[in-house]
Amino acid sequence: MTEDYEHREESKSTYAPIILAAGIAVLLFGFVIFLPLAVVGGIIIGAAVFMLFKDGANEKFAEFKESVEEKWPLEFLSKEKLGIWLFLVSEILIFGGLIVAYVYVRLSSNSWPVATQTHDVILGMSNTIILLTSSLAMVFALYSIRGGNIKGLRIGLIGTFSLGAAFLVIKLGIEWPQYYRNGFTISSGLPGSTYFLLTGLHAAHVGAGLVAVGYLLFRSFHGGFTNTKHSAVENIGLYWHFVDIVWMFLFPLFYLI
Amino acid sequence: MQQSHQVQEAKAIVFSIKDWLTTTNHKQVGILYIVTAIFFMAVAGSFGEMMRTQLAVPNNNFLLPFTYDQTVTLHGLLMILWVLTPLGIGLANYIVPLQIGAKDLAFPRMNALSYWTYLFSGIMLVSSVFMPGGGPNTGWTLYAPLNTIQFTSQAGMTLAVMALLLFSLSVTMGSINFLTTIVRNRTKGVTWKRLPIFTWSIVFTMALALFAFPPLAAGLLLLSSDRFLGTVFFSSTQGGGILWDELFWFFGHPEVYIVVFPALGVIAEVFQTFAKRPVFSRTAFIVEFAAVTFLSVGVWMHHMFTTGVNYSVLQTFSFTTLAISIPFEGVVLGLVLTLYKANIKLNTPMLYCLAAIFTVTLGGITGVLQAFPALDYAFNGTYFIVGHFHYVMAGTTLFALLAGLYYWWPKITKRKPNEIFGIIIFVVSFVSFNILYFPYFFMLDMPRRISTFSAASGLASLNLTATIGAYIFGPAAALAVLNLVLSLRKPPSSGPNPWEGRELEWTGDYDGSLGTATATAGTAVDPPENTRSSHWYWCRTSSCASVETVVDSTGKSGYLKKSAGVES
Repeated sequence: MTEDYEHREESKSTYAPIILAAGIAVLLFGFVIFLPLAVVGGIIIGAAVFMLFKDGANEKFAEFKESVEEKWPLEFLSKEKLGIWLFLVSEILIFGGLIVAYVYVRLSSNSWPVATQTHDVILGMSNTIILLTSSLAMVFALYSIRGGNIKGLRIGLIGTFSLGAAFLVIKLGIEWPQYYRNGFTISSGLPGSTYFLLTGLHAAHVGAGLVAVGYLLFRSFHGGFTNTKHSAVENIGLYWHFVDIVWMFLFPLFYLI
Repeated sequence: MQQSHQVQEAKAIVFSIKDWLTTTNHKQVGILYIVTAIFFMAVAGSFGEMMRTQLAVPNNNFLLPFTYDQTVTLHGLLMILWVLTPLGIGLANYIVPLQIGAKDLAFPRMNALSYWTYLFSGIMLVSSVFMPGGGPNTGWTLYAPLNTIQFTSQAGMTLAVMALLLFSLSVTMGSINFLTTIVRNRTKGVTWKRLPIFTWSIVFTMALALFAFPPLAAGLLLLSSDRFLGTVFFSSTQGGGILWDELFWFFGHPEVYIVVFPALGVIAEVFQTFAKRPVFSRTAFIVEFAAVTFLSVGVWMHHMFTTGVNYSVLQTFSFTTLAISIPFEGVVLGLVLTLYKANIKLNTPMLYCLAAIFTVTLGGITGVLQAFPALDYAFNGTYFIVGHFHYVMAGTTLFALLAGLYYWWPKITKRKPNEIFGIIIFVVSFVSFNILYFPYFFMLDMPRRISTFSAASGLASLNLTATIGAYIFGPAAALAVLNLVLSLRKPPSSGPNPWEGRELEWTGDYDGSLGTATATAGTAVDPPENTRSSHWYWCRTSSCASVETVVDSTGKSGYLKKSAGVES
């Protein structure tokens, strides 16, 4: 049996996918039966993500070279970027489904509190500005590395990371506790449920974005990017802007109307 | 000496296990998908046999109602999501990169991740039955508010929701991967016009999967939040139940096509090979395929005709449902006309595909009746519906995917399954399939998902017939798989291309081994000169030359050329 696949390229095998999948499964299993198990799952996921970080930084899988190919009509997109765009399509559909559910629930409810009664518009507004600025910092990072300016890339990424973290601190550290003190909680009825679920999912996306930006920072300090080789910055940037745009929908839907 | 030999053997086994655990190769991942899907098929099939045993006679006590509800749910969820969907994905994993001359999928590691999340989600779902309090007992639709903690408080139900979330993740990643691969990694010469039909079917499948699974995930997130965090999305009296219906069926109806498209792709490939001609009017066939894909996201409400939706919604979705049947009939007619006056070889894969055409016709006609709200009111929730979708799922999809396995088995393993045994099993399974499911069309008085029926209902003989059919069909399906497995015991026997298939996967150096790309991968494939036909590959070999002459002189119709080819 073994001689059948001795031509297999050794570099193509990795434990990261099975570990990551097992980690997610243990996490979900833990949610259902035993919460500490979920922590174990989280640790396993962390280990797998670290493996992926290392492989990415070492460019272990990067030698997969595209050969002569038919690309019409998307000759201008790299496969990574096309993958990211398709991923964003799936994200749009998840958030779209949830926003439609929110609108549906709100329209079919007999009464719904006025937004300003339950929500702190000042905090929401400042978070909006912070997130928009973080997107600007991301663009700054991308344009810097396009010009070969590694220092500018690092400054831009650090800016993105700090502003993203500030968004989470304001949201999870200040805004949510304030709502909970006011009795506006996830289980206090549909207004609270929709708000905490949708913005919670969005916050999770910001968190995942922070991990990804952290990866870019990690790689930028290991000489991973040059003015010609920086597609990861652009692709993760796309994701970051998407998360920003989702907030542009959530903010008016929950805070203003 | 003896011991060191054993140690070596053990090392070889460990090495090969490591190999399977760490692989990112599309062929190996494809095999993993297929083997796992067949394993889950055995589990889900056993649940089906248990249900038929319970329903063999009136007022039976073989399964308690709660146990029966769980078997209904698990059978449905497993068969649709963990068996038929991944079986198509598994075949696609192996075949699509070969058909388009790609070295691998665009993101090999993500492909492995898709597989492992699929496997673990399936294990989670099956293990939900063993949780204290039992597994999910809501039916595969998990209707609200039955799916909320007030009515199904058991942890097994929550675990099933988690399993579905993980599975959605798996399929979404897979769809991103396949779409990127097919759009960006086709080798030089494989233009959209020349893309093989099976690959086309995977394009449409994956486009739908990308569209359908995220909304399901959104619904499942709301449901998990209801079950974990005490929200009231689906237990709310202000439209909670309908909200779940909308989100579920927005996924659920495209899912039907996600299941059936790879099967139709396989049928087209098999018909092309065994009738020795390209599929009838190839361009129209693909356009009709695309039309079905496009329309299939706009028909979901026909699953909700009886929920009290208003009249204009009834009319709209009745219309779209009738509209989708037109291109779908075009696809089926295209397949049938491929065979018209052709010189057909009746090998096992071909027989399974012919059976699939028979069942898709019957399943389709009984399905399109549901487009009329008046008829849907009558049929909804009866065994007529059960018969309808089993003809499409267990008939068309399962038969066609089995055909795909038989068809590509020589490519995958260098071995041809026993033909006579295969044909005998085919006949038995096709006959028993109809004994099992045809009686359902007469059980209009029997409600779905109910664990027993009374002797006075007059349904005893129909049910017994169905159960006898089930007792034959289950083992026959197992034997069909066994026939494939048994061929592995013999040394490699088949030539590089035993069926004389003419798509790209059959060319290149014949290399059935795992893990190596074929010679065609990544190298340019030169299209023959002066070929105006889109199915250029069909005319590369000399035996096809006569066909090409006719193509060039008439230029259009699919079967005209070949009937001329037959006569010459």
